[in-house]
Amino acid sequence: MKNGKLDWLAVSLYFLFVVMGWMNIYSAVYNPEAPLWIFDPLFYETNAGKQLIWLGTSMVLIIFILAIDFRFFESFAPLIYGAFILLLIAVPFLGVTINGSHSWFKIGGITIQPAEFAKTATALLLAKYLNDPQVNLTKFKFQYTSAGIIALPMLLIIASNETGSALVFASFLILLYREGLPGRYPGLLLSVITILVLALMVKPLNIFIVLLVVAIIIALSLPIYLQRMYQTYLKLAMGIACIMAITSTVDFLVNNVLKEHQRNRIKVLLDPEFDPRGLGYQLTQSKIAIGSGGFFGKGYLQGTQTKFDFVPEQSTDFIFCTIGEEQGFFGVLVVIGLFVLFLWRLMYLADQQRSRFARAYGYGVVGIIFFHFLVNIGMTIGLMPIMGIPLPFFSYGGSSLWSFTILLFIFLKLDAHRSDMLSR
Amino acid sequence: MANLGSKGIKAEINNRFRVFILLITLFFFLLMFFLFKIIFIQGEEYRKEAANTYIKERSIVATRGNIYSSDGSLLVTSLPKYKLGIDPTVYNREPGSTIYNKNIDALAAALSDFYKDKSPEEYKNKIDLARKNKKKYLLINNRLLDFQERKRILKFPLFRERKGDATKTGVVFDKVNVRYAPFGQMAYRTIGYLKDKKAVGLEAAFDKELRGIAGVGLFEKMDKNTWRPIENNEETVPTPGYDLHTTIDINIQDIVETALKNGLTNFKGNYAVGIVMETATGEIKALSNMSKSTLSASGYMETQNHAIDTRNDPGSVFKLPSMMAMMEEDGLELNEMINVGGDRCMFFGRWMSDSHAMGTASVEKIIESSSNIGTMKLMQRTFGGKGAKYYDYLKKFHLIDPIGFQIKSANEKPVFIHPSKWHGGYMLWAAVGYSTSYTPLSIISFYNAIANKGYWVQPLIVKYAKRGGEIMIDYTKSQQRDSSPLCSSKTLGKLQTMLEGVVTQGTATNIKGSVYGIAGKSGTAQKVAAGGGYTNKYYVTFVGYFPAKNPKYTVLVTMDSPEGGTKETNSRQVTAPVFKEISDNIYAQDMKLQKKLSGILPDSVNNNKLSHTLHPVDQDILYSSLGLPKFDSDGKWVKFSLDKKMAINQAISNPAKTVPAVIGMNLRDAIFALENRGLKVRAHGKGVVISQTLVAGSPYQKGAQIDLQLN
Repeated sequence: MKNGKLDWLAVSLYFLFVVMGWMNIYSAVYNPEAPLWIFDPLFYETNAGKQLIWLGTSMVLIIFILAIDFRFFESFAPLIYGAFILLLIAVPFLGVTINGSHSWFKIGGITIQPAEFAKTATALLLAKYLNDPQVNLTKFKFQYTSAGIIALPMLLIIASNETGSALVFASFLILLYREGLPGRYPGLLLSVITILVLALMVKPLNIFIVLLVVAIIIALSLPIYLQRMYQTYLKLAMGIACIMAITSTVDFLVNNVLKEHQRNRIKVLLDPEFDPRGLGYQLTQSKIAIGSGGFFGKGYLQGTQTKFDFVPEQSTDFIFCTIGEEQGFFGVLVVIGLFVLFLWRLMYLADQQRSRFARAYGYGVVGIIFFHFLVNIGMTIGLMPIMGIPLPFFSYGGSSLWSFTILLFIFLKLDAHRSDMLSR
Repeated sequence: MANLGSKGIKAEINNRFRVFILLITLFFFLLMFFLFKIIFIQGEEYRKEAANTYIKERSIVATRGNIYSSDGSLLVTSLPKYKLGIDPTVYNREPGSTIYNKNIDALAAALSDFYKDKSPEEYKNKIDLARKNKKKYLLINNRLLDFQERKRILKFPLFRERKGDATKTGVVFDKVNVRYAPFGQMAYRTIGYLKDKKAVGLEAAFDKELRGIAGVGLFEKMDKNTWRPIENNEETVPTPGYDLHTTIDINIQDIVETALKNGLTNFKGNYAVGIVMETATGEIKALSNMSKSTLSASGYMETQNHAIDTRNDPGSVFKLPSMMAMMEEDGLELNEMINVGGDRCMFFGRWMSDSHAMGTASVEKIIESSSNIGTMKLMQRTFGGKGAKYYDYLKKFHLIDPIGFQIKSANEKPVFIHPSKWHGGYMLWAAVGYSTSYTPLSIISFYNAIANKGYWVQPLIVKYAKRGGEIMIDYTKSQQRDSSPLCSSKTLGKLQTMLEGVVTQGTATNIKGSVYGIAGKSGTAQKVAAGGGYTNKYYVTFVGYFPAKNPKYTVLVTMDSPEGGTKETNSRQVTAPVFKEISDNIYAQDMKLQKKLSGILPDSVNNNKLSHTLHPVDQDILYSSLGLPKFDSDGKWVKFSLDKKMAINQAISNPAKTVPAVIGMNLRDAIFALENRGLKVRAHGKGVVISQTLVAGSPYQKGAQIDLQLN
């Protein structure tokens, strides 16, 4: 069987992203007093130099993935998943701590975070499970199994204190919804999140009053024949009660369930003046960097905020600041626009798949990238709590770049063979 | 596609696709909205904040204290060094930037020529760019400059404009304190250093005192790694560290280092240690460690403080504490005769040997010839079956516990097994310096007690910690001094006789014949191999004191693994001569020592007939510091001559308008005397004037030339 045709648009966008990402990392670590040229061995001690190595090795990974038989990924999905579950179990015992996170393996000079790769493994197994014609996501039995596949790695990652990475698994809801999960689940989740956020920002009592008014208006405006239905009232009353319960638990959740550093991240979001030397500082500096960029930015390598190391983690989680400061509104418009184009394209490709495995996997990829994209940019501008979520293809980091490359190219490989899958 | 059979589900799924597209598009607009808000609505405010230089509280490092030698010479100090930077915004303030434009090319050329790392164009571009970007600070180069270089740079084009007013020329020097030792390598390891995370020597031991208390002040961030203090904005002023006043005498230290190097050149040991201790006070006057090093031209460098860090089997020098213990225990007499027997003898199943068969010998002879067998037989007789007593004596002699020196070392505690764990003949072997382990400093502190009328004093290297001139910590107060002697005066007398005998008729006769007299003990320990058993390498020591009759200094010289000697000749050949070189030179320099010797000068000084002519002012200073009686010359030049044991002072007058007599003067005085009378001087050679071409006392013409020969 011959290799099919890769989707040129997605591949070009991938290369465009990694090159732009690298240039921004270079700029973030660039020291005008002592610029290092790429032939200088010292260069490879900087993030930009190391990222260049990660980029090179990513190319090897791509060639490797494209060379493997496309059926491998479906057949071996359970094995890959199992292997990563074992790694996640092993990491608390055999791992090393980097930047306060005990979730890394050290092999020689290379450090690998298995949590990054577990997303791909989960997407593969979930897709394989859904490929079974028997599986129907409207039935509880299948819903439970799917939830289990997602929850197992998620819980293990939470156990190693990487809540941010664990939350990424919530993005599989997109995959499940596309594959027939009733809309009430994502709807419910979105509602709860909305209510929680509202409850954080507004006093619970006000929400009660508003809800009560809304409920009365709805009840009064319902058609007469529905008003008579006892059940409708009951449902409405139950709904309001639930919402009240959720809002009243917010304080408890924030103060007792969340750990201190998580709680602080939420407080900062609501009040940037909170913790001005720590997290608030990070967010304020991030906003200053982006906000001071203007329409066209300060120019490549000319950003002062990022050069002065004002923005912590500027080459990893806060790489978007460098783009904002140096390329301005125009730059961020281009990057976000290209990302949206990229997501549209991937979704379009996913929808074109004839095999349910490839389609589900494709939606998994879209979900994961979308989640990262949204949360990462959201946290640099104060819309999302600060958590260690990198910007796909842009952020510095080997595990992150490798895992996104693998995630994407498995899908592009499957896509290239979509006609072969049809013939099965 | 079985589960997507019905048309309704298909439509539903299509809807869901649209929901996703909508969702992504929605978030696109959401993000763009917020970014728009940050960049355009709040942008002005953020741009202002970004333009503000960043200010932060940071600690200000206090000036580190100096370390001084005993005579107040600086051993180590903190010198200010400077980093050159500029404030390019200054040039934009002036309309048209005329001085800048006029001078920048010349400045760039001067900088390039000075630093030799970048071309003038590169410097120019760098400064131009910073100016255009309105940077408030640009680091020109990271190199640290000394004060002279700083002065030179201030004369560079642009920087010298506007009378060098820095607010107009933009020049900025950042001060950095750097540790500097004016004497270079001298006592390098003893003084120590703080490098990266490694700290050794006095710098480490007294870090707390030297460091001072850091202050707090506001700093401006200028650059990725540069924080500059904002002037006059110190919230807490740093408190400078204390100055350490050590007991190190730089002259004696120099003598010891030279002598050690000479010894090492001859015998090529692994390392050598020299310690000079002032007998009465316990002050360490010199402490030198020379270790093999490929980094130094001489092949040796101060890299490790063996004197306090390295323990070794002391060898025969340990016979003296054993002897002291035996004499205290049963009043052993010097002339008591012992049957030592042949040159081999078995103790507890192991052979011990002497350099030669002694037959029957006196106790004195046993020490003077360093007989192992004799000492061990005596030990067996005195302490056989009551080894614990011997141990108690050693404890009293400060040879069991660490001596508590000011520079701490993990190896300070001697290795000497407790009697409860002794096996076989441990005590006998230990008594002659084997199977035990001591640092050189432990050994010298014991010998110093013998020199110091039996009183043990703790070795001391730092006397005071001072701030300004005020003593903050007086370490002599915490110095341990025994209130009673280690032994009776009878025992002491016997031991001193033995130590003098070692030099006059024992193992170290090669250093006898000094005017002042040396008393000491040689020791040669065969080195133990890593896996046990003895090697062919030796650890050689000579420790003693001088002058023998009235000890002023205690000296220890030790060398590890010298080449070319045998067991019998090692300590005699290797370390004893080094000892003598040290004692001779100290003796020659130390005037107080000589004054007490009723006018007899050492041979080294007394060989020549001395004759000098001195200016009366110099003569006053010289004589009073020598402790000689003042000679009143009535303002005339003084001729001082010395013939063997007689010194003659004579005032000489030079009649006006005649050529003065300058023979015997140094060149400075000669020029002074001659040019005062209008003569032109041409000098040859160096030293003192031995001849002059115009005869003294003869008339002369102004401007005539006189040739002087110096030697």
